[in-house]
Amino acid sequence: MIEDARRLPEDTLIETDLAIIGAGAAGITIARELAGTDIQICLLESGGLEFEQDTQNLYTGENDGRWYFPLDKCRLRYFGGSTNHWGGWCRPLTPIDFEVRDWVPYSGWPITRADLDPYYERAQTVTETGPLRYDATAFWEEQTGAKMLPLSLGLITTTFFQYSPPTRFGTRYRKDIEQAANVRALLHATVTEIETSETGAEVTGLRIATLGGPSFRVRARRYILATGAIENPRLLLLSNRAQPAGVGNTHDLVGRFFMEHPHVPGVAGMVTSRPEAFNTAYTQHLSLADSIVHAALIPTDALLRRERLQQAVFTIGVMGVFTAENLASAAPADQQRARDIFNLQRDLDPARATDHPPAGYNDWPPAGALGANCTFGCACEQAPNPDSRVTLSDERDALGLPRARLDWRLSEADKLSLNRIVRAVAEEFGAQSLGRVRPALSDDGNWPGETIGGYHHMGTTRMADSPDLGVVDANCRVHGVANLYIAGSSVFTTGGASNPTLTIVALALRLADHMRIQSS
Amino acid sequence: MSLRVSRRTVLAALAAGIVGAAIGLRRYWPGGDVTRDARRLAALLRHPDSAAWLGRFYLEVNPREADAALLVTLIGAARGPALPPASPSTDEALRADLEERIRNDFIYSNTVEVDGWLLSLTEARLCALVSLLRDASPGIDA
Repeated sequence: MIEDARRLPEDTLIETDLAIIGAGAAGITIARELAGTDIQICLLESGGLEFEQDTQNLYTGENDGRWYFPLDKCRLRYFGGSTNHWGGWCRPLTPIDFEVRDWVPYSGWPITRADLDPYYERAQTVTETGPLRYDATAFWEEQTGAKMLPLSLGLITTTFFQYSPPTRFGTRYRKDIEQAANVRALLHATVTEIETSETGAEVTGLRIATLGGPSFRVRARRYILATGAIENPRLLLLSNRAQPAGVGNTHDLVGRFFMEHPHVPGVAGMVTSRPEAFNTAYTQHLSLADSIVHAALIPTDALLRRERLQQAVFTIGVMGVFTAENLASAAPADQQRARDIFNLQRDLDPARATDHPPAGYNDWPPAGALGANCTFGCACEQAPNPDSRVTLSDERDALGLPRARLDWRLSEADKLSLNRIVRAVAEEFGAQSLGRVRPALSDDGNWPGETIGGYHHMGTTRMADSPDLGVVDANCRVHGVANLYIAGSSVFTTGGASNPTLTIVALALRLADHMRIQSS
Repeated sequence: MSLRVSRRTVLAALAAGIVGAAIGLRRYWPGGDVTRDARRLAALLRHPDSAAWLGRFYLEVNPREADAALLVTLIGAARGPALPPASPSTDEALRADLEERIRNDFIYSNTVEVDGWLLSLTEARLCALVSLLRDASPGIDA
């Protein structure tokens, strides 16, 4: 059942078993999983079924650190949340991402990749993606009929993204929510306070407001906060009536450790005289019978361990091709060096010292292509940093609540790690005669000004066994609060280099199972 | 043009830490002729304008290698397959020999940035060789 909270009588009290705050990927997934059970659920969504500017404005916040996107442009505040505009990129975190790595401060989840694997399997279905075979090169070679890059130095390897259609959770799963007898979804219902007992050890209710409409309360046995890695800490921090530091913030960790996946546009250029080696899977989305895949490059675990590096992932974009025709004409000055590098490779390559274009397949390389001028896109891992954080602003929103203030900080170590991995790609490509790489990053710890995020907000209510190191425990329950749980990427202990939605869904499925057990 | 091994070449090679050079400066092939070797290596690069341009960049950063004989020696000293007693009979064989040295350069991080591009030392030196030979004989393709 889906209702508009603006039609509720003022001061209504809704009593239920489970209150879920936020109807995005995590909230909808949990509600769907528990649909048809004995658990009475109230799903609270700040927005409606479509985009509304006045609701979206509640996301407006301050950026106080390095440049970041305006906060009201990062997320969508209506039923389905940010799945209403996500790109569909899916890839699980890798096993090493969950480990304690002594060279990555604050690393180490209290769960392993193996713990999440059954949920990743189910998350594939929820996100409408193919099999959970992201690093299985031989499998994808068989599926695509194309050979992947011959990478043998043990520095980098091929991985695969899969693409969700992308699943718009709000439209794709709306009927499931509407038809679930035990789920009551309330739209235009913005939680303005999490009320707790005096000691803060238990949540006693939620105060909820509507823009221009009634206020009301929800009281539940358990609560799940699922509003994203900026709004989750915001709501915990501003709920400070009983505990001045906010809910679950005894150890001053709420809002800290904000992480992104730093993206550096054009992190490196690459020229190849073997365009056929980069089959279609590397250069564009490849549609297969039950999945859409895209090949990418990642550092091997061996390289990460040996050189104490952080994760990164690279995709290859083709900027242009070299053909006999365009090589015969004058090149613009800014393209001449790439042409020089191409000529050098071709001249020294025993298999390529001719003007005969390679025999290609699929859509790549195009007819007549002798080589290609490419660029790498990258997303990399930001190490957890307590000074990279979300706090409360002095500004207030239309409901009178303090806005969020983001101070995003990257470290020199993050940058130096990326530098080394880019050079590892260059060494691997050089050794295999695949191409020559031009790293675009300065050889120091300074991040270029054009560094952006991927709209991947993570870490602000991180998961750890100890309340000294994290806000939630391995079951996503807030340390020290008996009946409050958190879903979404704010619980990520580290962020790896994988887009977060698949992991958000997997963790949500796991939390739903936990709720089922707790309620039985 | 005659390429003679100068005192400067020997000193530069020693400064570059080339073990082979320290034992006794050699040509690319043990029985080779340095002038012929230099021309043959340079001739592999069928786009001398491109190579020379990259080579100039390399020499600007490494001026002590601005000596064709030294470059031939350094290229031959790069880690690679055992040198045959005589020069490979075909350009294909020579390219294969160089390809192995270039591959090893990348494996062992014997690389250099040339105008930002990460190249193997061997290929950068080949470009430098082309640049020197063209400068020595303007208008003649190396």
